[in-house]
Amino acid sequence: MTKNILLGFIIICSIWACQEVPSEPLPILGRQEINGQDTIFHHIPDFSFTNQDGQTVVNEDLDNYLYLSDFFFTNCPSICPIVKKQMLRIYDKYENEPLIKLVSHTIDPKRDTVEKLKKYAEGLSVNTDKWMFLTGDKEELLDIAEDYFVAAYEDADAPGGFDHSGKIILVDKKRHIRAFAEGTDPEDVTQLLKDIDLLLLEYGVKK
Amino acid sequence: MGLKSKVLFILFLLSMAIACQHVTFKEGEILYETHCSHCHMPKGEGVGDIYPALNNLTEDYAFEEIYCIIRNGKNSPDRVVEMVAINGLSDVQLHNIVNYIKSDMNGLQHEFSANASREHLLPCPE
Repeated sequence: MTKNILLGFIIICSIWACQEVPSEPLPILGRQEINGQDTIFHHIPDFSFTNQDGQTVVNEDLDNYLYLSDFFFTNCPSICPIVKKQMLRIYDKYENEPLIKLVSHTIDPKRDTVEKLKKYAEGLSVNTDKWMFLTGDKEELLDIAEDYFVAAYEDADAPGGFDHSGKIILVDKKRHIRAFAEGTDPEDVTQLLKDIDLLLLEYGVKK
Repeated sequence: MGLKSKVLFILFLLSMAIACQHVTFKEGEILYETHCSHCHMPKGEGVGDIYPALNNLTEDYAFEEIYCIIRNGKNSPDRVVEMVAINGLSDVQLHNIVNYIKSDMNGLQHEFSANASREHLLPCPE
């Protein structure tokens, strides 16, 4: 009798384990506007920033990629290091996946010059074709942070002079935000890694 | 093996596991979490060369050197990120952090008891 129950249990478990749950595609996040018949989804607006080599980077440079975006500043004594640790985790996993790029924006362009960002990238030992570090006009940077769901503003009382959240945002080829994680929470980033795989699948890349 | 010895063996393993997690410098650990772990990471693993790892120190890394870096900060032109001085810590607290880093994090000998130098701050190069 006990044996039969056990056998039944094992069979149920095996069936359960074999079932591949079909995943829904990732949603398009953010506010939608209905314009007549069309729905306009939230998307990343036009931008023009400068990378760690002094080259201009615009949206079109990222049009053929899925990218992860975050906001930081090198003088940040609070959450930035742990977020960078998690960005490094993403970098390490997708180092050889050509469709994925990483984009870190400084919100302190006065201190974070092109040279400083270059040094920062070198300090992380990352390939800047894959992971770029952007600076530019401060207002433009703080504004676009909002489009990336990141609250960022100057605050003399905050550690390092800026207050901001450590979100890591996943953007698709159409500039739509498809997923995000709190970069300060490694478990949240583990979920984001699964979301990245799901988005890659949408573009025909099986991980 | 009898039931009794099995139970004893499991108890032994459990106590070993608990013993291995023991932190000698508890105050140092708490202070580390408050003041250091943001950048040097909770287990001292660091982030690249920017926030250096602290969990791979060797014996020749002098106690005084770590002590003075915490007290005065560290900056040089080739560093991307400046380490700011950690203000407001007593000498005993500084000792406890260094002892925690050396002893609990790296398994090295801790060199000073806080009481031994309670009288005066160690000299640090300014």
